[in-house]
Amino acid sequence: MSGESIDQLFAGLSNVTWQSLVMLLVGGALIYLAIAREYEPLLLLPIGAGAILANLPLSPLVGEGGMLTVLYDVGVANELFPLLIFVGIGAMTDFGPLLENPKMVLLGAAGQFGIFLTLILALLLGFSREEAASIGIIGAIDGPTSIYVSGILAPHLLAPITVAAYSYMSLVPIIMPPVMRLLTTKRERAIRMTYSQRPLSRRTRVLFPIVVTIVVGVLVPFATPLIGCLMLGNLMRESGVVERLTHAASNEIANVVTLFLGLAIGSTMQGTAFLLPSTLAILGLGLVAFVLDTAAGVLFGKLMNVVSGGRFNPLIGAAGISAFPMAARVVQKEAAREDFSNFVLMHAMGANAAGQVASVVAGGVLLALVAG
Amino acid sequence: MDNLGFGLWLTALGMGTVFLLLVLLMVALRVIAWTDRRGRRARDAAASGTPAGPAARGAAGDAAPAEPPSGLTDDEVAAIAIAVVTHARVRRLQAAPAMREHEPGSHLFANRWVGIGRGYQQQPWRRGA
Repeated sequence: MSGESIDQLFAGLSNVTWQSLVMLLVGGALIYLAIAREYEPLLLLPIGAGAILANLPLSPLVGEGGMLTVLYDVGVANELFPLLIFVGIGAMTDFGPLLENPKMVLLGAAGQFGIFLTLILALLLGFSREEAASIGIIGAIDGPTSIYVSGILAPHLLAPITVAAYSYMSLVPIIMPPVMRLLTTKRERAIRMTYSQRPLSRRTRVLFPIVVTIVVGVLVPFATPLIGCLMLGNLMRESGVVERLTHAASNEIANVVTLFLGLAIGSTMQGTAFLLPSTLAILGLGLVAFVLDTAAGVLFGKLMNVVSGGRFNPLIGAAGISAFPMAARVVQKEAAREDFSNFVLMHAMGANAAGQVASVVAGGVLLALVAG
Repeated sequence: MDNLGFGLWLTALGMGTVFLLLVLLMVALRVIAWTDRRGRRARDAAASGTPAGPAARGAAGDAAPAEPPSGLTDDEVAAIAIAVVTHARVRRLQAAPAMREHEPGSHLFANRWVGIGRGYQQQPWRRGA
């Protein structure tokens, strides 16, 4: 047996680097968070697995013809996977609470302040304009939007941005409450709001996705792929005539695409490209973006409280983000903490649904301003 | 300093556009809701044989409150809801101990059902089973 054959047999061992070892640990940590802590397991588990598979020495899964690279080229590089996920999200989301109370749309807009404030911070830290916009979009608190925007503006930052977006999204119940309590008084948190359910006709529910697509698509063409796919899913759901498609979009397609997306994102977490000071900065700025979003929402809620003569509970402002329906649940929990019989969930759901539309709009606006 | 200026400009323009778009969307939603209400009123008026004009609406409003879509009063709906909940509770208490041990809907409750289903499937009461 020649020395060359032996070298080839142990090629894996001789190609282990400290970066790949660290990334194996990072992948393991993501899998741990997914399994033991149940933090966004649907995505963090495939991402962790992708990171491990991509960082094994001489991994045939990455590189030309490798499965993970093929997945990346097929669905992430051309933005297909995030858009397919948006169809699924649209098929799963009930925009009824928003349609019953259209003024909640404003809270959705306020919840996007974090994007732009984080963008300013990223610029001050020395990131380029495209990179800063990609980091800022973590503040949309919406995984597919973050992937879509950063995939176009700064593909080299896709991995840390995705990991930050999804990790912090699962930490919404931990990140939001302290900010909400800090910015509101006990009296404000205990404000009760009357809720009267308004019957919505099928026509209204069907018209909503069509109108939103046309209004947003005409005014911000960059947002058309995002809003178009989100609203396509919702149109299928509300039309009630394509049950099989709705079911497939929200289950089979969403599940398969989530797996592929996770693996493809994980494969971009290669040690040499991921273990940089900028990754730490992105993780830090992502947290700042979440805090700023919550703070801006609550402050806008306080403004609405003043305008309404003290009848608006400012906590609801914090629900104007895209983490649906987690943010609404957190708001309800905080309101009930102050007054157990206070029921603000449906108002918060309205703001949360608005946050979903608004985050997509903000993503399109950001793309138009920076990439346009 | 350039970056800060660019960031501030982007924030003002970006948030301004987001707000403007969403205000437009709010207006569109209000218009849809308004046409929806109008259509419903017209349909209700046609069903009751009265014209759908404002005067007729006023007269109808003075005469009697609008009927709920189900045709049931609030008290009747509340009574039905209480009856359903009570019935479910009684059925649960009457069920075998294995079933009522855990709250319906919980995983443990579902496990019990799976266990019972398997028991039936194996038919241990049959000779030679």
